[in-house]
Amino acid sequence: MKPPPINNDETTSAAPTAPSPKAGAPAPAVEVLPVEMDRLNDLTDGNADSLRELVDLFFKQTTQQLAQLEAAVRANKAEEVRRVAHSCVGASATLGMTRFVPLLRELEKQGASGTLTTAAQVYEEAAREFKLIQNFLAAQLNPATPPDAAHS
Amino acid sequence: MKKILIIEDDQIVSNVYRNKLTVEGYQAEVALDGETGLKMMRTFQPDVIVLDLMLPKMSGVEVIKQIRSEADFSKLPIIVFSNTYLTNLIQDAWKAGATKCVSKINCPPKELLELVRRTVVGGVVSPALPKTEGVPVTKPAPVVSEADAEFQAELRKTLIASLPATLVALRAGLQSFIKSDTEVAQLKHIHELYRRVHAVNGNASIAGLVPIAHLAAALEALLKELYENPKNINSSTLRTVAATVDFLGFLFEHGTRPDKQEIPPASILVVDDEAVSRRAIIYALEKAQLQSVSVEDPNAAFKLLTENNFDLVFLDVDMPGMTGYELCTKLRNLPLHKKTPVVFITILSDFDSRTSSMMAGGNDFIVKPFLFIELTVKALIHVLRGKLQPAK
Repeated sequence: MKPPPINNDETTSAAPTAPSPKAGAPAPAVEVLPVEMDRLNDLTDGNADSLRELVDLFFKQTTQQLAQLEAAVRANKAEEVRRVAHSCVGASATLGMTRFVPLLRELEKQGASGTLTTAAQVYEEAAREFKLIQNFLAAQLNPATPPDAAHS
Repeated sequence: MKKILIIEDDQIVSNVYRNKLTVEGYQAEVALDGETGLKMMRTFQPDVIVLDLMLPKMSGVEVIKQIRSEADFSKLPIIVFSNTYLTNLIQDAWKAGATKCVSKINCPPKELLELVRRTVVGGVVSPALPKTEGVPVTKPAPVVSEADAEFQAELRKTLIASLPATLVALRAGLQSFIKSDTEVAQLKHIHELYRRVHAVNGNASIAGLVPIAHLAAALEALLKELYENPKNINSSTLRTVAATVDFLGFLFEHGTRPDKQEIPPASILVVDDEAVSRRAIIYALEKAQLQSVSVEDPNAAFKLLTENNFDLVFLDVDMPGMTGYELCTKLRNLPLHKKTPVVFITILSDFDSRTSSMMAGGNDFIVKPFLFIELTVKALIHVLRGKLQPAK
């Protein structure tokens, strides 16, 4: 439940009351976007140049990390998978890559356990998600750019 | 006589502004919330509106939108008071049609008078004159007189006298927040604490108590974030809120001297092997105008530490070649950095390793993904503590 924007209302309680769920009604599906744009905008104070710089940095760094991850998974180097996934988690979580982070955490976990059971499959999912992030951010930064043409 | 409408929920702040404007020959009225402000605008027909962004009932941004939607007031100058740490809100205010956005901290009453004077003379109310900022004014320039200094000193004295009671109220509010056992109760208590901190920010700003105003403004922004995104309430953010309230108590005791009323320049070192996080930390520090040096290699960082003084160090934990803990242990052996505050930045799964951070000589830690304002608040605390700590 997301509360209403904060204000200084003296007269009413700030705490919203949770609506009662209807019996038997399915919970409405909430679409989770690949990137929390509020987070990125907050960090860069709404400055388009700063945002672009940060996004470019993220694309460059993550592209390299995914290549390292792919190689480490193929070579069954668990510690390398853990190390790279850990580093990638930090940046991605900081920038609000909501759906990407759990996949990286799973890779980090498998790397730490020393058993890369489903790491190849998780890596493929992560690579797909990164592509979606690239398209999403390209569309945000340059709405005129066709999503598939950006950062491909 | 030019008419000024002040829309501001803090009665002390609004009264100070009204009195100053009245003494200067303006007709000034106060509305304590946005809805009342809009009603008064239609009858009072002000030449300028001075508007606080954080208002009861209706936010300041909504008030601006409403004003701009009414033909009679679509060009009415609106001077907006904002919290310098709420940058997204300031952007929204500009987009909604604010004429001027100023930080409360940087705008004590005499600055407001000057701003109003320039707006009245150069603004839309006098179409014959250009609107450009900084045009010569036809009225006499404001006299920064002994009276101004006395007025500010009197304000400061009154506020300082009330600080012990303010601290008691803040601590009580913090306890209620921490002990809340439901999300609804938690949100209610965050909001109450937020309101108290908002008042501290406003009052300290008009009294020129800069460090208190800055820290209160940053804490206000953090509490607003936690209220609007409760998923960010975790052990890290709770610790930060508690530490900030505690440090406000320190500032109430040590940060009110007239010669301490500025944010001192500080030298900060950021060590993280990964570029995006380094950049994020630098941006977060810049929110408080704190400059930093960043390096990716812990060995290069150690060399820098050997040769330079720093007021604060942020260390990533998991770095190739040397962990943050190892670097911290090494820097504690340097005479320059026996007491330099060190804050570890660690991902959530490392959070339980607080013992390691303390054993290595760290002072604090913050969890990735951190809230940017949380990092800003922590940096302000450590920098101000170092600069204001009484010499032993």
